[in-house]
Amino acid sequence: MIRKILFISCFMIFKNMVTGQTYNTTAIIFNFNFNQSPFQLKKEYITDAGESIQVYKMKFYISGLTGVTVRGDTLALSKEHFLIDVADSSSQLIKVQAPQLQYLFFTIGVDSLKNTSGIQNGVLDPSRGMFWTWNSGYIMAKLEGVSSQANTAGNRFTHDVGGFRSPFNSTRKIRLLIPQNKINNTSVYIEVNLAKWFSGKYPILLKEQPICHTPSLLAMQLADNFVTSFTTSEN
Amino acid sequence: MPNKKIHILFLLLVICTAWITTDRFAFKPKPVKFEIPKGWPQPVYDFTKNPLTQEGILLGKTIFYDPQISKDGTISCGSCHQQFGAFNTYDHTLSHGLENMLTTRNAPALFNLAWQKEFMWDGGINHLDLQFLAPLTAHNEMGETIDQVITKMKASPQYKKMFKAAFGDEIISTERIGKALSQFLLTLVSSNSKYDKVKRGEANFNLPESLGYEIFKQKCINCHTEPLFTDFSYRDIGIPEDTYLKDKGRMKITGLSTDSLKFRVPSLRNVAISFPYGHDGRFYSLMNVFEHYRRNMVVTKNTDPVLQNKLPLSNYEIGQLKAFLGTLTDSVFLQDNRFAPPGINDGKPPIDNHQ
Repeated sequence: MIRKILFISCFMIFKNMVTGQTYNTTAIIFNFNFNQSPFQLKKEYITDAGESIQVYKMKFYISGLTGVTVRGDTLALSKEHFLIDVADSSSQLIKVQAPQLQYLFFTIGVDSLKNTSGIQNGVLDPSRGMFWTWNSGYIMAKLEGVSSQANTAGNRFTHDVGGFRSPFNSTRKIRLLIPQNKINNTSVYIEVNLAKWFSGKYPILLKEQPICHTPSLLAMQLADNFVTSFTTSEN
Repeated sequence: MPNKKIHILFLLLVICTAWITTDRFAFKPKPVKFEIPKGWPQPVYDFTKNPLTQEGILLGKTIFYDPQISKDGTISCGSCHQQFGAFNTYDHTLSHGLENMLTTRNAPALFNLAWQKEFMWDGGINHLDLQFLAPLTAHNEMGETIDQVITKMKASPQYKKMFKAAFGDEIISTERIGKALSQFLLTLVSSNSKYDKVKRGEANFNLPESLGYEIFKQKCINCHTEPLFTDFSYRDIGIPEDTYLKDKGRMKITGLSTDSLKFRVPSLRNVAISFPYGHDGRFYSLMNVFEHYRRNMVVTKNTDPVLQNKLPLSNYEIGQLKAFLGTLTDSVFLQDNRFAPPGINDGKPPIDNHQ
């Protein structure tokens, strides 16, 4: 491990000296809310349709982080996949090297090549619980918990959104305008309103649809809803 | 002097690179060449991503036959994939999991997997390396989590040694388990049946076998294509849905109603010893299968176009077909010590015959 760190740091310094290219570190920070109240796992919230919910798990993948600079240049910020987990605050901060950005693009989900080329490592390791073993493919985003309206064992609802093949490709592109009111913008705050999961575009009632475990129309609707959860904020 | 700094850093980089790669130079597993039988197509498995080595294959075989990877230590891959049944569950309709549980399907025979793109009766799994995750984590098969399996393996000095021999260091990961298992499974090539020997000019069919081969070429070859004896397609062959299992087959994967009751065309290699037949093992013998095709099929609009009029077969034709199908049994494969469970040196099948 120490050898690797030494190697990488040495390599990075060398690369920077040769190419002379250095950008500021930009922090991309995800914050979660439920219709503007701060979001916490296991706390009770009321959806827009009036159903009560407590969330136990909320995770999603993002990939293809791309920025558009204030000068209009498109810049790939990272080739990595990231697993954003409400339960793990360290996963909610992504650091990239970038000049001042005007737009941030990313994909919610895992690109199709990673869905079809065997076992991956790191955050894409199937042991992370975001992989369907019986119908190969990643769960792009999952929201699981309990709701007194869910007519299931233990009132549990599990919305696992996945599927990468047409007509049920559940990956979604996100395009966010970054507020430019500050000089030397080194942080991008992304607000994720989880209430929209159930109501952003299609009203989804837990009374009727507590379970999503397959690439399906329901998964597509939940994915469309989740897209509307994302906004940027200025603080 | 920035130039001098660059030189020093470059030197440091070279030293670091050498240091980090010394282990790699010492790591030399013995490569194993994958032989493609003469006249067969190119495999679909990408060997460049997972080159076969003696150490990798041995590790894969060890995991395949290790019941400790299941939750209660009772079920290994080899429990349901037995060599004497061409790696099916010999003489069992539905395969068995832990705590007396049954699965909903018949464990398919395993061979020639390097040529297969999708796995399971419904083709739900799109890469051989991923296949083991489904039976490992299914509650009615091995019922275990990946993290637990890795924890158990990390506690074993033997596994640590074997992972290091196969992959260069002691790291045990989901990916490495999958790749090691694939290496073993890829070596399960069945290409030494009497049929293969006839094709290579080393043997001759007797009269019923050669008559059966001609009938086969007229009536079966459309789906059971040579030389693998499957075209790997999914088809509804008029098997009505079991009201208890409610298994919709391929539709479960694609969500398309047109895929209802479609299942993967199984290879007919080793068919005489891999009974029972069908995705839920409902056909006890080959005779039941022939009866199904000629009389018992339930034809619907989803039933395969080539079977809309069922498959007329006379008693005479069935007799010759059975003789031909018998030539697809590969006794070299069934008794190959390389594939046998550790400690068993003779893969002789039990005395039983369901033809």
